[in-house]
Amino acid sequence: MDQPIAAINHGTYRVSGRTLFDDINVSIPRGKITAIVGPSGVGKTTLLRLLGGLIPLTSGEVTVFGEDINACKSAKRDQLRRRMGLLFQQGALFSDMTVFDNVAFQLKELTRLPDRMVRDLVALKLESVGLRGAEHLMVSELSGGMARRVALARTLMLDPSLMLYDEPFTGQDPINKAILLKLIKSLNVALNMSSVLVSHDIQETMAIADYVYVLVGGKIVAQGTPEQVLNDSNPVVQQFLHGKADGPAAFKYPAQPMEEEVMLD
Amino acid sequence: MRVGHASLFLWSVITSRMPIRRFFPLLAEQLYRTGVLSLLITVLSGFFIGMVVSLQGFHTLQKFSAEQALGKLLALSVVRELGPVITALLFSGRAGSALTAEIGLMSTTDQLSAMRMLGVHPLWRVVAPRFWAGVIALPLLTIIFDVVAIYGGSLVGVDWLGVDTGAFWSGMKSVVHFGDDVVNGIIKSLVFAFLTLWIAVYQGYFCEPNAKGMSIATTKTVVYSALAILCFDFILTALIMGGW
Amino acid sequence: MRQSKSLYMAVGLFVIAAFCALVILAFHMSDFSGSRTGSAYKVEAMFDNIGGLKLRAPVRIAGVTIGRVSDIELDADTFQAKVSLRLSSEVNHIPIDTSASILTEGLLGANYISLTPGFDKTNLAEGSVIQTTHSAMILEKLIGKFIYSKASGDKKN
Repeated sequence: MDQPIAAINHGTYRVSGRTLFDDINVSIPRGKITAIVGPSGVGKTTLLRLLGGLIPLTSGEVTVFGEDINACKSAKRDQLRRRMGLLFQQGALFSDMTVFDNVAFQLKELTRLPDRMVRDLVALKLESVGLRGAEHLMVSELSGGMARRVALARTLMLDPSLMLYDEPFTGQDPINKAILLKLIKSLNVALNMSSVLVSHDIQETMAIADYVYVLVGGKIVAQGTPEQVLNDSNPVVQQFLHGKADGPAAFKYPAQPMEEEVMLD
Repeated sequence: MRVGHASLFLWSVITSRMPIRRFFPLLAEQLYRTGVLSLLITVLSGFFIGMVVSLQGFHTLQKFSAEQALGKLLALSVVRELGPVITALLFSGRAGSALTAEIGLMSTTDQLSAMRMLGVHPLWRVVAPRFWAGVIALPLLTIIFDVVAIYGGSLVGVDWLGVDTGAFWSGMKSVVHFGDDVVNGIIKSLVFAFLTLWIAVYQGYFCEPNAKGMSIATTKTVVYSALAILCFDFILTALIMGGW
Repeated sequence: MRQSKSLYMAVGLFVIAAFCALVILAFHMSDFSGSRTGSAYKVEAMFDNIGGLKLRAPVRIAGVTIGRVSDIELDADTFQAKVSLRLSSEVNHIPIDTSASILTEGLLGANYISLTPGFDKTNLAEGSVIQTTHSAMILEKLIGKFIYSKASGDKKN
């Protein structure tokens, strides 16, 4: 299958005078885990939102399931969104509802399935993230890791074919990271999904990615399999992937020489 | 500019389509949150306002030896002005700001974006039920306010200050035209409801996604609502009383 | 979202309370007449001067309100005021030679129409015209008359 499940073609995104992305081309292959890595603040979350059609590109097109997600009508867009899922960094659970209500959300709002069936389906999904039995908890009672897993269950409810993960490992303890790694990989295989992973945790990401894009300064500076990218000769890529403190991305913020600042004679 | 943006927003809220079977449960829940929970403040305020108007009115009328007109004075001021305006102001402060804060928080924590990504548009799921519940609740609250205020005023006027009960009530009944005064008061409160709810949900939906943004938004809701209520009160009164 | 029974009940009570309040407002605190939607018939009367008579002013017999003024027009031919009265159908035995006068509530109050029944066997019906009318008393004319008669009274003495 050559057709990518999603793609950004010649995408440029400008906001408040800043150019976040400058003519980038990203192609998400089917059935694989694609990672997009880059330094903090480069706009990785924005990229996912662009893919989901939450924000429009300044120029270029975003194609999902073969359709331009920004050009179509609101109803069609909602339809496309039901076939994909976006896992937010903070989970973004609905704070005034229980775990059950959160996970059952799509079923409750978009289908007429009977209550018993909804309960069973929710139980199944929670089981797959290891949280069956927590249905009655309120969102405020969950730990960060649990919240993210509940959010994952919620996003998976309608078995999306494309999953977008926004910094799933950030701020997680090693155990949670391992759990998430396992989940993302096994879900991709078991549900025959395509996944896009956005992160700056190199180690974890390289461990499961099939294809990697390195995004620095609004451009794709490298792409390929994890091995190809890790061995890329570009110093920018090298500094980022191998965690060097100083290099093309300067350690020091531009300022006057220290002597002038402190006025030593 | 902003009014245009807000008008388009209002239009999309009103015309947002939702599954019919979801409408009533969502509406009922919001009616509870905005209406039933505002009952206490409405009833208490109504009581006190009625009593104060009665008290002040009595002493003023006394100067003209016209105490018997107290019932008329009380009922007309409450039903025509105080009821719609004060109930709306209280409502914007309590329910309006709460609404802005709630929607604003959902926006700030990405809950609205998450909802959109799940294929459910927050306009009909979150905003529309709250909007319509408020538009329904405020006139109902106004009616309750009217009755409680008049009753409270009668306690002060008749039971305490000694105005003749017959003169009080029959005078009132002769001068308060249901079609003109009561119904127009309700129409006023409907207009206020529309304005207040519109401002409240707009501010919440489009506020800056941080703590400062939310506090600015809630403040704006209360202030803009108050100004809109008072301004339209004048316009409506001028229209109703003729001479515009 | 489980809709608890108590929530529905609370909302229901709220709406019912508001409705009861409306009813109280209507019947106990305002002039809502149940017969507003009741059937009525229209009768006309011509006046030289209606004074401050307004639309929806009451029409009374022996002080009891039996209808309202529904329309006030100027008759282009006679330059008289043509007043339409909407009378309750329950009061349908008013003789055709009844007279209509414009009186004032109290000294400086609002104007209303008072009907003094006649003795004819035929009754007023839809479209009837009341023949005998007494216009409103204009206060300035009264005072003028009083001053004039006082002045001529002094002159005589």
